[in-house]
Amino acid sequence: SWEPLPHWDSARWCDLCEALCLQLVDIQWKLGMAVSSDTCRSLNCPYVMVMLKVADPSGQICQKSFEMTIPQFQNLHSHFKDIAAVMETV
Amino acid sequence: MADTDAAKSLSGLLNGITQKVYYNNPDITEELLKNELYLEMSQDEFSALHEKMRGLLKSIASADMDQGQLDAFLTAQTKRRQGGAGLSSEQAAVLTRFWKTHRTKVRESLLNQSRWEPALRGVSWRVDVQAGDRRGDTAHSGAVALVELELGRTGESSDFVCLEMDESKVNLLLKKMGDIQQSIDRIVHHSPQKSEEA
Repeated sequence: SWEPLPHWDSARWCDLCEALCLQLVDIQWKLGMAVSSDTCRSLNCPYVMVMLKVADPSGQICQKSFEMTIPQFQNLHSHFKDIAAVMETV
Repeated sequence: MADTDAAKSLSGLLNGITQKVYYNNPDITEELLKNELYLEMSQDEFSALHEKMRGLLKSIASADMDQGQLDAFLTAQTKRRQGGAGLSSEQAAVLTRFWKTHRTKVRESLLNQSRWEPALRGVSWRVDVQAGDRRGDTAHSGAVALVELELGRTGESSDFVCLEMDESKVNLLLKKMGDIQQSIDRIVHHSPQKSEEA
């Protein structure tokens, strides 16, 4: 069994993982630029759109998509670099 | 004195319109603004002023005007004064001051309004070492990353997605993220108008 991290809400995590932890199957991405909209003629905002293909505990495949600004994407990227570094050491 | 009062009232009106239109504050109504700021003005006169300011703010916000663009725009508006629909130079000065403080926040709100997919609100993760998987299969032992993504659309509550990944999946994700970053670098370097976020 694992030691909970400080500030770790282990009960919530266990509930979540038991109930809906999804296996990552594949990931697709798109880098887009929002140029203009009905409320803003000059949007000019790049975004990263991600589509995750995931499998639930019963094996059912579904898709989850979300959008990130560039700073949000870079933050996620640095989290994954940390995760990979930890996984390499264990 | 009268000019200062007029400037204060107009600044209040611009604030109220911005709260209502761009910051989605439902408590602000046209009636409230009239009673608080322009009690002595006739309803028709106030409606015309409110409509004019709302329209001007809309044009300014929609084009995300910088200082130079705003000056040119407001100068053109003050020149139209003879026609009756124009702007006084005092009003133009209030608008300039107002936009200087609100530009960033209004833009952020407009960007959020035009984002319809769920946005990434937060990430938390944990790495576990599994002795075997749920089915007691020791062939799958190794490190497992559990990543929780908090997703949500503007104005809606969050949806939590918990992902389980082995090392090869984490590396696949990292490789794709490297590709995304390369693409970002390409558009940033080629774009003449660099985003503030870059």
